Amino acid sequence: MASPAMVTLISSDDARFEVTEAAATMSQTIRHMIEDGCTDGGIPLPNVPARTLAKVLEYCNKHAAATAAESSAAGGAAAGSDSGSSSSADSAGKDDGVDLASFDKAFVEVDTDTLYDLLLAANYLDVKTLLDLCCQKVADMIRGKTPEQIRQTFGIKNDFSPEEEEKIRKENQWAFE
Amino acid sequence: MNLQPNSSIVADLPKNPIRLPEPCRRRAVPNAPTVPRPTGYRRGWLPRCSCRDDGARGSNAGGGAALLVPDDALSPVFARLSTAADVVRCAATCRRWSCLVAKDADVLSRAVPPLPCLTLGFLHQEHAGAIARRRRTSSFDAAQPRFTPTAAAARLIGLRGPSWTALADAVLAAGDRRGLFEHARPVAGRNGWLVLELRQERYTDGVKLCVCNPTRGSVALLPPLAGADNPGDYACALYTGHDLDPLQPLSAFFRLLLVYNRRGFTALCSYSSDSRWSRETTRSGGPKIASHRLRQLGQSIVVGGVAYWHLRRTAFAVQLDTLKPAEVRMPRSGIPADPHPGWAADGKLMFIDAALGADIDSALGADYNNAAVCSHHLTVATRAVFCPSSGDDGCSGEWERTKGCIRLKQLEVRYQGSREEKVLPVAESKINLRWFCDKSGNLLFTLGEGTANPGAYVPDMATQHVEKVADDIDCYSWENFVGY
Repeated sequence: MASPAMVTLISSDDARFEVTEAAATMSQTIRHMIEDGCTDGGIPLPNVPARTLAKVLEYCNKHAAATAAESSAAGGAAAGSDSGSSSSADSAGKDDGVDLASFDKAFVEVDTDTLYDLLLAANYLDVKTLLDLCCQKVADMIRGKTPEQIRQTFGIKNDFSPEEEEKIRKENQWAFE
Repeated sequence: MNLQPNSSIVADLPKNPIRLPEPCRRRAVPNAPTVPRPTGYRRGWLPRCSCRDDGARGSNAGGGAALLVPDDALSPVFARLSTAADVVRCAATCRRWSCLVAKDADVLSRAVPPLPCLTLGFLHQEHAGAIARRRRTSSFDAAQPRFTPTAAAARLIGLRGPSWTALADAVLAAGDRRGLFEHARPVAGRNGWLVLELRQERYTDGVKLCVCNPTRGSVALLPPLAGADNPGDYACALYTGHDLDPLQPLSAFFRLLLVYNRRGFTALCSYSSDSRWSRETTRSGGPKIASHRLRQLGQSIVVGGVAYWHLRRTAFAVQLDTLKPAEVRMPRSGIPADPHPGWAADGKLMFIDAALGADIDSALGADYNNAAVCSHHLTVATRAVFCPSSGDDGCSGEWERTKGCIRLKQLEVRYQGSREEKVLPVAESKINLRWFCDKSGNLLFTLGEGTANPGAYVPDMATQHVEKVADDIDCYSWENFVGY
């Protein structure tokens, strides 16, 4: 098997990361840059610092590998369906799914700042599954909190006047009970 | 609880694609040429609020990590909240999140159930008589219909005071079409949509109507009714996606009904956003509506696909899909002869009357007969309720009498003048009931010169909270008042 194509990514603080093209192209932004042929000398990502990029690439590598394993398993299953080996391939795929889910869950168990950085990077790099994951995590953190608790959690400055805040509360009394 | 089924503003939000901030632009290669965003081009009031907040974000950059997350990363977060209460509490945290929730309500609609409706303000016209031919040399902006925002509008769309240009900014492109709304007459408003009659010079030989939605920034110019189609004086009812069954609050659908007079009979026609002007329908049977009444008909009430107008002792009802007119008798007594705003609640029609009740509890009461200044409270009473029967014709039903009345205690009206004036009926007392926003339950009225507090007021009929939205002395003379 030929060695996979590699690309070099350059973070905002000039750290270089060598990754497989399969992992890198999980980012639609990078995929477009590769399609446009601007990969010579590495792909600069001026909005993503090294710390965050490393984390994103950890996610991409894991998922790209899982996707590759799944597709080869599926290919094997299709080829070997006559010989009755499809059931074992299916169970292997399921194990991968459970594994990935627990990986994802652990992946976003981070502090708020890191989560924001991930959200921003996923948004900028356009990694849809990672963006979904981060959004879901933030949404989970909001769930059931009062506006004041939400402000504290996310460091939001309350820029409503007391009258405006009272008005909102009255208009939406049902949401505050 | 102040919940109404479906919101006139929060559901009526722009379906514009979410604007991408700089870092999200596709192929964001450094030094790539950027496409300049057209300047001076507004698309609706709600996207504007997010523009304003982009600015605020810059100045508050140190305010917290959350403020740095671009809008289009935050919106999917809100979309993943499983309960509406979570979304509403997010909206209550800060202005930017509040705007985002409002702006993306269509994205969030899975989680957001009916939010309470808001009255955003009203449009009116000064010097309504001045059409293009007699155009005053005043500034070009002052000839446009003026929008006066309520506190809710100030909070949500950032309009801080009455504006001549807010409407044009919201729906028109900068440049040549700016003058379109010059001398335009607000005709009707409903569920976030407005009907304007354009009265520039070139439209004076016919009726040229425009239907627009300033929160969404959309506008439709209707083919003019000129020549034999010119209706002359007319009354207008508006029917939108909010009135459809099932409800389609985000639909761009609207239907317009015009009632007007031909020689010897009253005629009807309608315009649908999907099928254009209908053929003229003649009202067979029943007397012709007097032309001067037709001019004063004002706001229609739309319930169950039927538009109702209050005539002198009857209600004129027209089915919006078939244009089938009917006249429903009102109770003999208890209904004011002059058309006052009415509204619909729970599928019933309410007609209201207002009167000034002398404030005998006050200190002035002791010296009531000699007081030079009389103090009154405005009392609003529901005088009659009409329950449309659920038959095929839809234009018949039962009348119910009610005695409920609401005394707006916060609103004291003082009159300066002799004691003869203290029992003025509403019609002469410069109290003008202007409009009823039936989704939010707000009545709009103005108090004229001679009262101690001239201006425009918005009392909430449910909470009896009264908000003063304008304090112009001459608001009694405002014409073509349309609530929004």
